[in-house]
Amino acid sequence: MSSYNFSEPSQTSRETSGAGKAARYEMAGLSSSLGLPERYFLTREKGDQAYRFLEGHLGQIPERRALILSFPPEQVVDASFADEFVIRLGEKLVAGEFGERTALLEGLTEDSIHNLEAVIRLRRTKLVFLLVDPEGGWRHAGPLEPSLSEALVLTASRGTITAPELARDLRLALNTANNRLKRLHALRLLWREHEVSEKGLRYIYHFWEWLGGDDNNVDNKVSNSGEVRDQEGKHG
Amino acid sequence: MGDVEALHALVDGRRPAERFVLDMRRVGFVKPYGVVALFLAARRLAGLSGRRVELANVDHQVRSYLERMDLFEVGGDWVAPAEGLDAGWDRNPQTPNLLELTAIEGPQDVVTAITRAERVFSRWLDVPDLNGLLRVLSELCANVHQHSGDPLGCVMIQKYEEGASGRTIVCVAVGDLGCGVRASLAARHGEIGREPLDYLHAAMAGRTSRESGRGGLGLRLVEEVAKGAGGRLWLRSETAAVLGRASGESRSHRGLRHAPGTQVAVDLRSPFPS
Repeated sequence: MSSYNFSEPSQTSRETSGAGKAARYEMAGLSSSLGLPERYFLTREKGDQAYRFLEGHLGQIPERRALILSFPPEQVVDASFADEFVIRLGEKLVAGEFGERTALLEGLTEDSIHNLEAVIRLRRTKLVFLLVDPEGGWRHAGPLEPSLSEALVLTASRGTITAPELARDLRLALNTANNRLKRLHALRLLWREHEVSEKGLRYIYHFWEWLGGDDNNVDNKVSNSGEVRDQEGKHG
Repeated sequence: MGDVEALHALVDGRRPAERFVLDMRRVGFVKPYGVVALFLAARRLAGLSGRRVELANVDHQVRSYLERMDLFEVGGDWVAPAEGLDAGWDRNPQTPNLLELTAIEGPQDVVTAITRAERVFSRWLDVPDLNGLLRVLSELCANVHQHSGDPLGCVMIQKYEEGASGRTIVCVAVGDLGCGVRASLAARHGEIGREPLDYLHAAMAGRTSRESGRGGLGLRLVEEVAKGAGGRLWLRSETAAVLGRASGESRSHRGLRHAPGTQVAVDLRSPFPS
């Protein structure tokens, strides 16, 4: 599985209004709230409780932002918890129930990733999750066709992209480029905004951000009360 | 498995009696699946007599083993050695070889079993193998408390050295006297087949009894891990059983002596093949 690192924020002249600031949720706190030992995420019941707890939080962050689910080191995540929490979250995201938002998974061990991918495979779902690290590296878990992976990597390296740009860079037909970006958006691996010009409606696709940048130099943290605050305690 | 089937044959169809005594003179060795089977058999027989089952003529080493496995501790309401328990039993709490017989009454017990198993087996299992073991344990224990309806299901794990090969085998055994796989699936899906074996196959194929429709992954995951670890999975419920081996061979058994609930044995070989 390939990993990517784009720690240098890409330069773009487009405005991304209100976008980019990710919110981080420390999963160690959630496991404690669920009555589990700190790095253990076990059983279907707890996964269900975790999902119900977090769905409210995810809905509170502004659209076009990601919620980083940050797992503690050496966590143990069983398949039942992963199915009830992560997979279910992914299904709801893809179904559009959370609008233009996504969840990024941070800090998962190889074993937890293995479990997650096993669940994805056995459930025959097409879900794909972005696995991120604090240094800007990322990879994906779940089945992603090579053509979509190629488009995703290119978009991540640029930060933003349009169908004509993708078509030009990868020498694709415009329709093909358009379809690939739409599919990546449908998987919640990209978010998009639109422009209306004399040429008509045009979509601009963005890779999710989770690092500090020029207009994104604090991490927003989701408190147990459900409020979204930045590191200085101000509302985001 | 053959010796356990003999135990099921002894118990099946037993009528109520004043007391039951199991003569253990021909038992020279017991594995986790056997301990679980003994525990469940004792519960069944004690239910018929209203008294604890006595184990007579128990070989000294077997008795020590059963005591070490906490059979008489966890199963104290249903089974005891005929000669009484040794006083001052000195257990080594640090042994890295086993997880004693552990009751699974609810989700918290699943968590406890896993955290204990991780602590015990992390001393000598490499991380991928340990993860495989914990996955098996988690899924099997969850099945007990979520689907069986039996508040007294149990689990046990032990590792052995495999003869001349020097490889290690980790044996996981789980059992309950609950409703069994057929009743669990039939409650949601209606009639899938005509006999318990049909329901075992459905369970192995991923059918779930959950109202939400989610689930049905556990046994498939367990089978994956078992086969990937060069081992095997034995799933038994009522009068049927399925055996899956790492070689890919799968064997079905029907017409076994009736044993209520579900019993599972998983053998994993370490180091697990990568």
